[in-house]
Amino acid sequence: MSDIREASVEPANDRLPGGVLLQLAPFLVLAAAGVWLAAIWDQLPAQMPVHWNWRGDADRIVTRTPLNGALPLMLGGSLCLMMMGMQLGIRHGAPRATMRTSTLKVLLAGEFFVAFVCCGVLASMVTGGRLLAPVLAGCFAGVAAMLGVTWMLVRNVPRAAQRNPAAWHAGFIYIDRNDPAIFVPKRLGVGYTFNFGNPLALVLTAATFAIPLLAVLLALTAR
Amino acid sequence: MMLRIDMDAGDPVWRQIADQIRSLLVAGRLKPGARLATVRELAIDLGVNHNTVAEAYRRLAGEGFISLERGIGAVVVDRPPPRAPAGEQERFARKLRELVAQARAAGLPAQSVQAALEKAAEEVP
Repeated sequence: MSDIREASVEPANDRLPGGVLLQLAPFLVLAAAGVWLAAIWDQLPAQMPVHWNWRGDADRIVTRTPLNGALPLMLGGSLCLMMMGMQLGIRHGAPRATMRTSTLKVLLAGEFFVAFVCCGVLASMVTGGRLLAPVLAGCFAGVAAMLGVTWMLVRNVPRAAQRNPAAWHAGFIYIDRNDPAIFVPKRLGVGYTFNFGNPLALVLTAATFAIPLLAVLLALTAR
Repeated sequence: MMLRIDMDAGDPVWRQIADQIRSLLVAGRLKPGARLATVRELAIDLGVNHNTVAEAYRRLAGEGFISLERGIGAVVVDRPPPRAPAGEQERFARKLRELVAQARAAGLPAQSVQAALEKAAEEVP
């Protein structure tokens, strides 16, 4: 298979979508929730539910401590930070293409979704589960909206040219040590995959697992 | 303005990059003052080592087509028309004969080769 590569000689003109304000907005949402939490702190019960079973009954209760109270916001903040990192990684480490701009927008939308879900979880906690049902409904609606947004953004994106046929292994693993890209267009499907020939890709893969895992461990060890 | 690089061609990649950018510059499609993609951007887009793109840019800077400044990148400069050095006409004629021979050996008819040469001469002012 021939290996023809194309690129524009003009400089990139795409930026992170929405500018600084929109990029910071998910974190501001979480911060606002944190301020609200601090304002009502003394009114909160000594014990707060943090997990509910499928019947809607609280099956895990924790003591009211600043760490326990802030856990949903910390989880949201870490996930938003990770997704912003992915935006920066794709903006500066993936080849330019229409798909790059669309992917950045989907990631930003995802940050907003995560921020609002985590605020919803916090609201459920502090209200003893009374807001659980509307929060869950909001989550499902949010997932549907995210799928719709993603579909709208990617449906007309032209398929990226296959990059270096010899670097693909098992059909979906890309390894090219001479390729400086961190992310490359997937060979199958839509989106990006790591270039595992770039050492940074291994670091980012580990971080993708480690950050959410750490947040979950913190949540599970909360008393 | 797109570059098209054949990774399996005999020509080194840096030379293909330099040749294609030079063609755009000589044809006037890149104006003085225009910025080129950074070394990093072009390297990532093409999936080649940074040094490959850097070499192409260094060659073009050495020929006076672009300037390379840290923090600014590659910028097209207003290059005065050069004076052809002695023997350039013969060198060019020899390269052209070799190119025509390669095209004919690959099976291209003489008329196609002639038409392509005339088109190329018209496209580049």
